[in-house]
Amino acid sequence: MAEVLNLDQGEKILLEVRKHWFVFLSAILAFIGGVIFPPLAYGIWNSSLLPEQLHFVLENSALFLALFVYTLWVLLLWVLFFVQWTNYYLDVWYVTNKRIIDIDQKGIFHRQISNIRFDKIQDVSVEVKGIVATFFDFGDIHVQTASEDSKGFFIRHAAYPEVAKKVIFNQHHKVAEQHQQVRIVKDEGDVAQTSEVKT
Amino acid sequence: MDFLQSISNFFNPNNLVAFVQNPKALWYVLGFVFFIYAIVSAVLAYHWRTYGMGSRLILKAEVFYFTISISLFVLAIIFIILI
Repeated sequence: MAEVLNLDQGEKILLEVRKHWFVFLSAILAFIGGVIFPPLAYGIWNSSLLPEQLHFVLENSALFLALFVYTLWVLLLWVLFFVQWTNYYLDVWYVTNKRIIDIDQKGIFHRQISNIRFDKIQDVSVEVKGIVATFFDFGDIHVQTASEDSKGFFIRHAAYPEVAKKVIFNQHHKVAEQHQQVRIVKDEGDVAQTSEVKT
Repeated sequence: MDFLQSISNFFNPNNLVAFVQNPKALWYVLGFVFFIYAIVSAVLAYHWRTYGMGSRLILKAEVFYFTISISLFVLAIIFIILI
């Protein structure tokens, strides 16, 4: 598991940030529509909405042939649906106790992994736009870095963005407050002393 | 009305039966579909196992995917036999 992400020793995943399921709803509806459409079209074709001359009834071999073709059609939709779902599900941010790992699943053969350490993070902003996003609790998260040459991280329509922001901020503060060893030189007698201070 | 009849004939699968009097052709079609399915499924399974991080949801999805797709293949075979 850690091999894929190249996690350091002692590094733990605290949170997984994914796009909200609502984003995937269009793929679900397309799949359902594709499955329903052929029998629905057959029903409408043979209904009173169309002239009787157009009607036909599938029987014997033709019925089984139609069912065979329909089964292959559903199979095609099923496979495409899971390709879509894989792209959706594997597009994720892993927030660990040391950094954020962004896995950008652009396609089934197109995957980009980048990471950002908490000490490089300057700001985390969340944008929730519209009634639907507010109701279902999803929005865009933008993690800005101090570095000028880096654009930072951005995820669209992330689920529970405020929770993600809170976890990232908490971890950012923890990293920033970690004890660092510094040398303090006292005035009296120039005696060097090492002590632990919080920065 | 001849026009409507010709439309009806065009969309009527009963008229296609003549093309598949020899069910062997359908077995070839099914074999080709299975070949494509096997390649795509192998790619998906590789992604799920390599990048799925051992997620339970991925495991459930994998079982669900293969159960339904194999059932659909079985149905397709039954329909060829029944033709």
